[in-house]
Amino acid sequence: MEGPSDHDLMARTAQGDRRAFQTLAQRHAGRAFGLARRMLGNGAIAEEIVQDALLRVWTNAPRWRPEAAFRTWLYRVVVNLCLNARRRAPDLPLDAAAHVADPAPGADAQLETRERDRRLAAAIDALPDRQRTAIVLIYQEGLSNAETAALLDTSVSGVETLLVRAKRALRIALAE
Amino acid sequence: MSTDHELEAALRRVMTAGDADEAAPQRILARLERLPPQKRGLAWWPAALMDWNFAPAWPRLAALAGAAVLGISIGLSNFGTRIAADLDLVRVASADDAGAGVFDTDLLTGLRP
Repeated sequence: MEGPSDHDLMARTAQGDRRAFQTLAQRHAGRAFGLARRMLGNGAIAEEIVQDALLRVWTNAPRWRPEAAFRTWLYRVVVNLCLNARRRAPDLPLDAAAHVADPAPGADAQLETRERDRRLAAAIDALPDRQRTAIVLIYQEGLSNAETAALLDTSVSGVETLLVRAKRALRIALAE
Repeated sequence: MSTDHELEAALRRVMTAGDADEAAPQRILARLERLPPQKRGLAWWPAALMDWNFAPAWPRLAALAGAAVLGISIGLSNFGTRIAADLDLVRVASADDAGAGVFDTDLLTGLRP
């Protein structure tokens, strides 16, 4: 990562440096949006969530203490806002499954893979909130089990249990 | 998907597929052009002084500099002495002190040590 570190940018943001905050937001907005969109399945609400999360970063920056990496802190805010949104509106309208990669045209096997991936994406969207969150954090964001546990405020074994249950549910959904 | 390996591979493929809405982050950033005031409570300065991470911070340096100037000013003035005298913290030695009963007078000068 070039330029100042997240820690330095947050320290300057805490002093009221708007440019530092804009740099920080620009650096993390894309990944935060991807995380929220995966968790909610709704891009419009995901935008609102990320905007809310970044505003909270700005307003609360003077109180921030570097006990964890900034990305972990931001992701925790985003995850909690997404979980709250799901609790308030459990039947959120889902976007069309645009997040399935287009295969090369032609072979039936590739079409079959595309269909299976579409069903897998739908099955992920139907998982319970914490199981889906664990799947997104590990397979999309590339976090370790330990980082995911810290973000979800649980233990590593708790994360592993979530993953086992999620994968079992996904296999059942794909077998149908 | 019969094996865990196949499911793992599919999960990575699905979860890392590109997001269709690449303009969303820019929309978010555009809405963050105007920012509200930051939350800085009235009691922020004691917290800044108690921050032990030793990172340079102007509130802490300003407080230390102020305390140093105040201490030097008190020391250079006789203000501190007047306070000590008022509080009876300093007693000027006199013939009535306990030393009169401890030390004998010098035979030549007649003075007590």
